[in-house]
This record gives sequence, structure tokens and C-alpha cells, in this order.
Amino acid sequence: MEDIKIITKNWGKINPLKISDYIEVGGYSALKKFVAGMKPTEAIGEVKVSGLSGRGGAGFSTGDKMEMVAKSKKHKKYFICNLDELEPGTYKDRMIVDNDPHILLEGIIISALAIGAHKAYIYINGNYEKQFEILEYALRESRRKNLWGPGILGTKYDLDVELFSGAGAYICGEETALLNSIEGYRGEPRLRPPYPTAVGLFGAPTCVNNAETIANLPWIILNGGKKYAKIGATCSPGMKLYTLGGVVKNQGVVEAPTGITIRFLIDKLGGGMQDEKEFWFAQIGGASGHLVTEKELDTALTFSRDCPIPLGSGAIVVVDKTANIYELMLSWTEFFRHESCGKCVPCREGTFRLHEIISRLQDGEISERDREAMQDILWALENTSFCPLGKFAATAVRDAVEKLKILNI
Amino acid sequence: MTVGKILLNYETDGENILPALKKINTTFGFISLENSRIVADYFSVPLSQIYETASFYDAIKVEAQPDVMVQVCFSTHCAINHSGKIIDEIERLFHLKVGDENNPRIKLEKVSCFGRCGEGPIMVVNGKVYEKVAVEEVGRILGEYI
Amino acid sequence: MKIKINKKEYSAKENETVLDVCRREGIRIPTLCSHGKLKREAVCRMCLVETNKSDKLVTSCTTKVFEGLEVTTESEKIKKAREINLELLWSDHAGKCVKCKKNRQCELQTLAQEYKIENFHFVPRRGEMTSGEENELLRENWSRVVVDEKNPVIVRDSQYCVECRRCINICPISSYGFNHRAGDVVVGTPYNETLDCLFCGACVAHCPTGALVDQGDIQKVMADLDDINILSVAIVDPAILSSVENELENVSTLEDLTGFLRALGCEKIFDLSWGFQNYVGKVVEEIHPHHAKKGIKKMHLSNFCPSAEIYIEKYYPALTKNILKTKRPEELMSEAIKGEYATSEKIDPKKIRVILLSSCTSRKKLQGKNIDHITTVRELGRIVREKKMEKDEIKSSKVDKFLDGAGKQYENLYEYGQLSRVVSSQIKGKFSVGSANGVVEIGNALKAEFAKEKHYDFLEIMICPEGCENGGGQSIKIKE
Repeated sequence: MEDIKIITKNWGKINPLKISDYIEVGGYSALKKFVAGMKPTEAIGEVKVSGLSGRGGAGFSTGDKMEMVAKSKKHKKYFICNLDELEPGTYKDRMIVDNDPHILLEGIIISALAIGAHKAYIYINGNYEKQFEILEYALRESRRKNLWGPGILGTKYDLDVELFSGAGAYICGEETALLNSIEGYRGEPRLRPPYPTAVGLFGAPTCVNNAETIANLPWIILNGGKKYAKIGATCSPGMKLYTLGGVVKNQGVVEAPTGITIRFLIDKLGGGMQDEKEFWFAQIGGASGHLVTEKELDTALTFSRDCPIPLGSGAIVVVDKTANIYELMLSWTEFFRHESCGKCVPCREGTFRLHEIISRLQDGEISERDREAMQDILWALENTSFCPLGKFAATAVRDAVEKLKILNI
Repeated sequence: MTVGKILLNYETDGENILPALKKINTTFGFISLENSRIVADYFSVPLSQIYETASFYDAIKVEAQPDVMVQVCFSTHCAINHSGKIIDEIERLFHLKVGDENNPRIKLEKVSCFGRCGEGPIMVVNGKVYEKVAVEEVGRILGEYI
Repeated sequence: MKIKINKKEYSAKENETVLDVCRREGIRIPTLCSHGKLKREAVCRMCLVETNKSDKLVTSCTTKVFEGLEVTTESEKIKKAREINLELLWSDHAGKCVKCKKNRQCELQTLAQEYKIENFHFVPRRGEMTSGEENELLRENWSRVVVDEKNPVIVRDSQYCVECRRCINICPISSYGFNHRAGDVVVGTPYNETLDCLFCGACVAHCPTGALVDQGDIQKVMADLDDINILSVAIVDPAILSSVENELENVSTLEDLTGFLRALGCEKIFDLSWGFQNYVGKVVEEIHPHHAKKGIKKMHLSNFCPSAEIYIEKYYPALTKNILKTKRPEELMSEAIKGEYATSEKIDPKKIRVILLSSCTSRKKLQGKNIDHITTVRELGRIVREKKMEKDEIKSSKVDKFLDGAGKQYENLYEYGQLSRVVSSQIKGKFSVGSANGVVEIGNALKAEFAKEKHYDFLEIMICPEGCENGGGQSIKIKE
């Protein structure tokens, strides 16, 4: 089963800038199959059967999300590819664009057609300037081949695809914040309900999917949802891109099924620890991710709510005992102190105070007052913030305190 | 290039506000009050919305910037690769602190992930990205700008 | 539908939120961001409650009711959440309550007392930090403080701000924004410019803390009241009676208030009837010659509301000439106090101080030769609190008669719609009047006029919703 490659199958084998290369290896045949003989409901049905869930981290069923928008009777609908990818330690979506931009475009076009959207946006991380250019070029090429634009592939269906570049705000990876950003507002998360599938971009039903999620679609359309559902963990099947970093031998992005253990990731895919270094802990899912210690290494990573270690964005950073944990904690708290949108009290004030406290303990000493304050702030972030970012801000620090037992709390 | 000319490339829909602001920012280095007013009028939105949006995003500045803007990534990967030491070195070399506005010539910022984690530590000077920066190189690299 | 709150059953309507039901039923839920009909932002996290739907705390201000919903409004968990978030706000707050203009009328202070927020454990004491850390802390905490005292009506100080967004949501011309990000957020004007708005004062009235307060020096008012060589004359705009009770307990009638003012040291107290009557007379005089000429279709705009006048000047400059030039009631009256009245009473006008008690903040711009002090309801409350006056010392009293007096029919001219009614009744012939409150209605009325769908000979325009009774100088209840 591990030999299957879905997203990375063309990496290194084709010239990513040449649409003809992509077509030669069977590219855009899923789109053609869909246009030629599939109803949107059938396509969405396949996605539902596949069990594909959001690869950005939330793990919501992709098929369900698409269906909600598809069912809406409103004429105006939008499809958005979320390529904001600002989670520290994660650059899988960037690699998709670098190596195979057309698989993404094909997925976007299929998604938009399936939900009945005539306009699709690619919201791309503002730092990804080179990738912006690659996509711009790929869009031009595919447009020339009538794969999008007015009357796709001889049908009467019009689809416009537009690139939208972010401006450096982590929170814009959250779908409602992303919508605000496109509309020209501050990238603050919106109140839900209503969900974007009902009231999204400019008030219209909108489906926002992560780039990696979308890159699975051509394969699912060609090979069927049933086949996809057999890959990986049963609770959240499919292939996943993992970004390996830290003190593992092989760093970078690899594709593997869901449901593999962290030990497998480090030892088999990562090639083990660098220079016989001693494993201390790993962080799964970026700055917002949990820390895992030696005894949790055999946990299987899935998107299920029951999974003790959420897979998140699929980033894994391996840390050895020589690392300065206080500097890392400072890095996490500084990140959230900078990236909180500032909207709600616990996140705005809490991330600010948490960072202050952490910057006071570089020597590993913590005063009784700070110890109590830290516990209170972590609790408030976890239980009272407006959007998930507040909760994320507490995750790694809590784990450092509770699992790594630093600060003797 | 004037702001008015830049704006003519955009239709007056809300979705063009952020792209227009980014463009004006790259052209002028920041968005001034004057220019914000012009943008607000062009898109027929309150000035307060333009300033809210402009001041929210890292890539857009609402104040004039110093000649040399140094940004060092301090997110997980780069922090593990000791980007903290690079920050210390810059602070030592130029007698400044992260975020200081005192020195009109150079400003140092800690920034969030650039998505180039494999290549860390990452330092960006006036938009130019330096990968795998070693502490010893910092003086030489910045010397090219000052 | 039926829902349960704290194990008791209540009926609720579709689309109501839990907070709506609780407010109606008198179940107390603290809020700092939500207020009245303002947009529900759910950012202060004070109104968190527990439900039978999930194990998470939810904001009652945005949670819609549904059949079978069970809500708990007080529990250990809820208390903890409110305490921590209050303390987080408190530690970022200037904390200079005694000197603050909102002392004892502050929603944050009231909640801090209710939840016994005393120890600032998020901010270390001096001895617990190195001097470097201390400097860093100060720099971080103070780097974005914005103070604006330059405009004539509103004093802003971001140290007191709790980022509730009420001012952003209530401002009719979007003067304020939620600027910057994370811990650097400052609610204020673009580029921290001095406020240059309609000065309607709605933001001041709705600010839960001392971040937005009235410009003005009550010490000067108090000094004049205490000076035995000065004759203090109060003009009471009856509109203030709708909110004076929020500042002065159990004071709701003009007689109660007059008693209070006499005890404060006002030698003479008049209501505005005389001013209203004379104002109407002047308005009719100004309009009539135009109207009498056949074929001239001029739209006259009322100038009663100074904010509306600024609005027209700013957004419809071409219509500035259509605004009436007549002096406003309080201007006419204060002029008469220092003129006719002083002569008849044989008082040196230089020894008279006129204090206008008003529900309007933009009238503060009228302060000058004839009106010495313009005091909002909130400022009146501060004077009374500072003087530590007790209600039981005070006897009710009637206002004094001013000159020849005035007809009863002018008493309520401040009410929205009255002016256009009274004016139209006094002009002969075909004369069409209208009234518009708020910038949206004013905009619509003007649009109709421009499009020739409708013509107004006289349009009464007010910025505050429903006019002066909801004026920006009124006091709002600090516990909803």
C-alpha cells in the first residue's frame, strides 16, 4: 500500500512549468472524465465515499463541505483554494506548486464545477512570490487549453480562476479570516454560524479547501472514492503530505498514508535521528501542535477527534536534548503574541502576557506569581477564546510544562 | 508613478483593496495618510477601514520605514537552528533592540515563518532572502547595506 | 419555544439569543462589548455560559435559543473564565480609577468589584524583575498609548480602552477602527489623527470605561457654583430628564432635578421653553420670505442639531447654504440672560455664569461669550459625586420664570419631529415638512429631494437616533 503516490506522483518526473508534460502523464483526464460524463452530485458522491477530510488541519469531511455549497440554490457561489500555509514548519503546499502546479489547478477546476461556482480564488501566502509566478504561468497555459475560462472544454460552463496573494497574517489560514481578507478587511475570524458554506465570500455560499486536499481530487475522480477509502486509517483515509524537520536525517516533504505512527515517520521516512542524536520530543502540526515524548511515539496519526495527537498540518519537528527549550517556548509564544488578531480578550491579552512570562524564565526559574498566572492564562486560552487560534497558542506551552516537566510544575 | 495611476489598474471592488494596498506599499515603502485617503475615496469605503486593513498585515506598513529593514525568522525551525543568536548578533553589532524605532537607518524585526523551513535560519534584508545564515556572516551581509 | 435557564423554564422566541432572554427575564449576565442593539461582537468573553449542547463555554450574546436548550449562567467554570479575562483586561488597564472621569460609572470597574479583581498577578511587582525586564515591560505596555485631547468635545485615552468595539460600531461616520494586531491593537482614528467628526458623542455615551470622555473642566463649573460673587444660572434642557436618573439616583422629574441644582449652588434655574418659543419664531421669520415668493422651491434644513449641521457641511457642502442661520434656543436664551434679564434684574452681566445642562455633546462647541459652561448628564453626575451630595438633604423645587415666560406648547420642542410640526403649523399655505434622524435617513431624504421624488420645504435633521432624548450627552446604565 505504501507504494501508492497520489499527490507527489509526478514530482521530479515532469517539468512543472510544462502543461504538456502533465497532460502526457494523464493530467487533466479526471477533469475531462468529469466534464464528459459525470454529474456534480456523482463527483461529490465519490469524494464523500473517499472519506477525504480537510488537510489544513481541521479534518472536516471534504465531500460534506462541497455538498453543502452544491445544494445551495443561490446563483453566486465561490470556491477558494487555501494556499496561505503560514503554519511554522509547514511547506507542503508550496512543494505542490513547485513540483506539480497543474494537479492543483485540475483539482480546483473540478471542485468549482462540482459545487457550481463560476469563480474560484487561490489564496496564496504572500511570501510565496515564486510560487505565485508559477501558478500565474500555469493558469495562462491551462486557460489557453480552454481548461478554464468561458465555455470550459466546449461546454457552456464559465469559470474564472484568480490568484489572490495574502499579506502576511497567520490567522488568514482560518477560512473566515481568509474571506475577510479577500473582501478588503482585517483578517479576523467571523462569528459562526453562519458557516461560509451558507454565507461566505461577499455573502455567497463558499467552499474553502486546503491546497493539499484539492490535489487529491483528480485521483479520486479517476479511481473512485472506494479505492481511496482503502488507503490509510479507516477513520480518516487517504494519503497525506508530511513535512519533516528538526534533527531527522531526511528533511523535507514526503507522501505517506494517514494512520502511520510517529516512530515510523521519524525512523522510516525521516531516516532516523541525525548523527546519533538523542530524541527528546517531537512537535506535530506546527507551532500550534502537540509535543510528543518517547512513550507516545507509537501513536497512529489521524484526523479523528479521538486521536490523542491531532495530525494538524502534518508538520513534524524532531527535537533532541541539546535544544534550548526556553528559546523554543519563546519562539512559540512570540509567534502567537504576534499573530493573534487581537479581537477577543483572552487571545489578545493572554498571548501578550504569556509571552512576557516566558521571556522572564530564560534561566528556567519561575516565580510563584508567574506560575499561577501561566496556568490561568493557558486555561483561559483553551476555554474562552473566540476562535481556535487561542487554543493553539496554549497547546505547545502546556505540553512543555506537563509532558516535558520543565519548570517543575 | 502616482497612487492614482496605480489605482487605475484595479476595479473598485472590495477584493482589490488588499492587492492595491500591497502594490502601493511596494512602490512607496509604506502607506501614508494622504495615500490612504486616496485609496478610501477610490474604493468608496471609510478611511478607517483602509487603515484597519493596512495596519493589520505584516506585509503592509503604515509608517515610513528605515533604509535597512532586517527581518529574522524566529519560528520553530529557525529557532531550533539558533536564529536567536543571529538576532543577538545584530543587536550587538548595531546597538539596537528588536522592534526599536529609534534608529532611523536600520530596523530589526522578528518575523513568523516564511515557509522555507528546510533552509533556516532565514534572514531577510529589504526583501532579499538569505538562507542558512551563520552568525559569523551577519556583519558581512549587513555591511553591504550600510 | 421553551428553554431552561438555571433549571427554571422560560419561553423564548425564535432568533432570540440567550442574552436577550436573560435581559428580559432579569437574569444578570455581565457584558462589556455587547450593548443594546449594537452589533454582537462576542469579543469580551464576559457573557460566557454553559449549555446542555456542548462541554464548551459559549457566548450568550450570540447563541440563538432552540427548543430544549438548557443554560447555566453561574458556575465555578464560568466564574473562573470571567475572573481571568477581567483580570487580563485589568492588568492592561491604566488602573488610575480615582483620577478617572468615569470613576464609579465605569463598567470595567463595576465588574472588577463584583468579581473581586484585586491582585494583579499577571504583572509582576518591581522587586520581582530585573531593571532590564522592567524597562522592557514598560516599553511593551506603553508603546501604543494614544491620547487625543485636542478636539473640542471628546477626550480619548487608549490606556483605558478595553477594545470592546462599541465606539467603532456606533459611530455614524465610521471614525474609529480596530487598528494594528494582537497585543498592539489600538482602537482609534486612522493614523492617530485628532478626532474630526460630527461630535455627536454616541461613542462617549457607550464607552464602558474612561477611554472616551467629555472634554471640559468640571472644576471650573464647581468653582463658579461656590463663588458667592457669581450668579450661577442653569439652563436645563428637558431632554436630559430621560437619563439623569442613571447619574443621580431617584431623580427623574424636573422638580427633583431643580432641587438638586439649587443645592449644588445654582441661584437661578430655567428650563428651555423661552428659548424654544423664540427659536421657532425666528425660524419662521427666516423661512417665510422665501416661501412667500412664488416659484421658489428652497429646502430649508434645521440647525437645531449641531452634529447634523457638521454632517451637511462635510458630506453635502453644496447644501450648507440651506441650513438655517437662526441662533439656537440656548444661544438666544443665554444672550437674553446676559442682556435683557441682567438689565431688568440689575445684575452686572459679567458676574453671571450660564451653565447649560444638555443631552448633547456637540453643543459644547457653542461654549463662549454667553454660555459659560456646557455640562452633559455625565458631567453633572461627576459634579454631584465630587460634592458628595446626599439625596435626602434635597427638596424638590420649581424652575424659575424667565422674563415673560413661554407657552406650554414649546416645552417639548427637543423631541424628534416636534420642530417640523410646530414650524409647519405656523406657516400659512402649502408647506411640506419632514424629519430625518441618523445619517442613513438623512441621506435617503436628501436623495429623494435630489431625485425630485419628494420635496421638503423644511427638513428637520438630527444625528442621534430619535433625537436628543438619545443624545450623546446622556448617561447610559452601566448594568444592563
